[in-house]
Amino acid sequence: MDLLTISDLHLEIRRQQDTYRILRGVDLAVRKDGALGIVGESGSGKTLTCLSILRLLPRGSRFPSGRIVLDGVDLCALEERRLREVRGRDVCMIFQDARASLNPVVTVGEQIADIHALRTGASRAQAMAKAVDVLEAMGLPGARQRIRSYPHELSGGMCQRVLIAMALVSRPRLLIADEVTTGLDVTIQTQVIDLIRSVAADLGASLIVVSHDIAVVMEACSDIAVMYCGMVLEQGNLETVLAEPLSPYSRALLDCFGLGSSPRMSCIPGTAPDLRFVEAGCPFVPRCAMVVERCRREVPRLRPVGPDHSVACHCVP
Amino acid sequence: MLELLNVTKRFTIRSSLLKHQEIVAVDRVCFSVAEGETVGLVGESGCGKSTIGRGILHLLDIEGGSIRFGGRLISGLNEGGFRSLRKDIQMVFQNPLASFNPLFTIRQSLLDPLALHPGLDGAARERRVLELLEMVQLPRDFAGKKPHELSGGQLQRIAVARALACEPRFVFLDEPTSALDMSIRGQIVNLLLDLQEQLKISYLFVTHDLRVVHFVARRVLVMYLGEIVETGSRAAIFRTPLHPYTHGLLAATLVGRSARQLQRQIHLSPLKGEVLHAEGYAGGCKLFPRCAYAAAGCREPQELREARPGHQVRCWRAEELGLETTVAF
Repeated sequence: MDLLTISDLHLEIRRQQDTYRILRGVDLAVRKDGALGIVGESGSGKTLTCLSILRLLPRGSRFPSGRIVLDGVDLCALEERRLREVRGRDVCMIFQDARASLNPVVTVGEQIADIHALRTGASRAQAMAKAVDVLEAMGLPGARQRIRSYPHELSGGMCQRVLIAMALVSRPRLLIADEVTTGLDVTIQTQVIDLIRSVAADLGASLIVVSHDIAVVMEACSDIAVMYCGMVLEQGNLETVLAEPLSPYSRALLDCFGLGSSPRMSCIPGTAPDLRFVEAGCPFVPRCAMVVERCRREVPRLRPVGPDHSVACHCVP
Repeated sequence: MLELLNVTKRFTIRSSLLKHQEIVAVDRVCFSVAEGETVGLVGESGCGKSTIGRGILHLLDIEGGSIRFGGRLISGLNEGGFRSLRKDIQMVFQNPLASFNPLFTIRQSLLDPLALHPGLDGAARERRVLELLEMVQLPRDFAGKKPHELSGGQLQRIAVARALACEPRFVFLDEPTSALDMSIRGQIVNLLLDLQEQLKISYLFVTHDLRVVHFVARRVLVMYLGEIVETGSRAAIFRTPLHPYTHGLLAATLVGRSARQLQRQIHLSPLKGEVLHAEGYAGGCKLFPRCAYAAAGCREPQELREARPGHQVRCWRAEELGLETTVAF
């Protein structure tokens, strides 16, 4: 049972004279109560896929084509007014730069309380009390004093916890965490991820975790999608895909996270392609070790290779 | 090659309108880096690693202790005195896009440090620019590009080229791979390893990514809130970390043999809470508020002591705890 399905999502962004083909037919599904991890390098389209769900798109974006169905409703077909109700109420997103996502001139307590009051009609006193409770639940010591802090007085990790608190009181059905651990100290990263996971569980919400770090996804997710150059190249159950990654890109990416016995660190040679140009065939060709003729001519499409495993690659039987 | 003895640096920050708080960013730090050696410096924000680098590079003044380079005292020099050393001591920064002048072409950025090299005339400098591009495996036509036209990984290669332009003997690398995707980190790391072999340079490699440390460093220093809490060989630190903080760092890092066997470190002592400069800190172990093994004796000042040959730790309970990791490499 899927809460969210994305089908054949395309997105272009126009900047000056150039058109960037950012998303090139993304297919994804998030189960009810499930947790999907989206991994890939910078520029793969992971963040913009999530922003497309909420239609929070940068300047110059052409309206995405494709379907984004949340619990039976096609978000792509909704007008802006109705979509505004979805944002923050049904779907909540937490971003990488936590401090930049908070209002700098309002205390963090008020920011949490405002949302709670909006959602439940609670009085100001009740809402502030709730803010204290929720901050305590986030593991922030001295919550009663902290609610009077401004974002600039808190560390990156604390700001992230405030955002998670705001998501908790919003009670969304889908929580999206976009690179929320990047830039945080390693020992704080584990705390933040554990927190997001428990919040999603408490809410009975589905979770999407976007990260270039597979460790983060492994910690929080049951399913995984690997993106490259605006496309999903492999997806399925996390354990299954990690045990046997079939796409050469997934394998190369996973190798980068291992220690191995070689004295040289694994990496993927070259760089991701320029998104302004669409070459025929598979986008990974210039960096792939397994190219055959068909790879240069035809873009591979995702097809099932197991009960919970799909891959987009011509070299996989 | 490089020797730090009791180096100390304090900063005074305003914690509110009337209160000033003194932070000891670097607290009597001692270590050395031999010729051709790579020492990994590991720690999270606030541990003092960047401050140390800036002290070595003479970008700030230290308050206590001494820094020696090639036997010569360099910490007390003024800029004029230090200038002649700038071709021997170089630095690579964390954020490639922020460390280049956006108005300069790559060629101009690479010519810049060559002004420090006494022996090269104009034509020789131009040749050196092309040599440097080849050394970091980038095509010649990159010379005419501007920083924003390059990817993060490509720009960081240029940063390495720029640091090596004058054939330095020592390079301080401050989180050179942290802003890069995991898939690109290896490109920079392998490049640095190859260049070290060819040119016999010493590196002080600062990073919080233990996966990178595993590949680059023979010796590892672990810092926390201005103090060195553990030092040892790479093997010792990864297999038998003695300090609870080191153990916590390893527990928070993903390691594994290969893509097919990725496994999470077993949390034996996850570190709680934030790295905070403790108010009212009164001597004793700085990890005390967060440590799962904190005991009464931890309030006493802790010394860095040799627990095993070549393996030092600042924790009186180290042997008693018998911490181990399950990393096999």
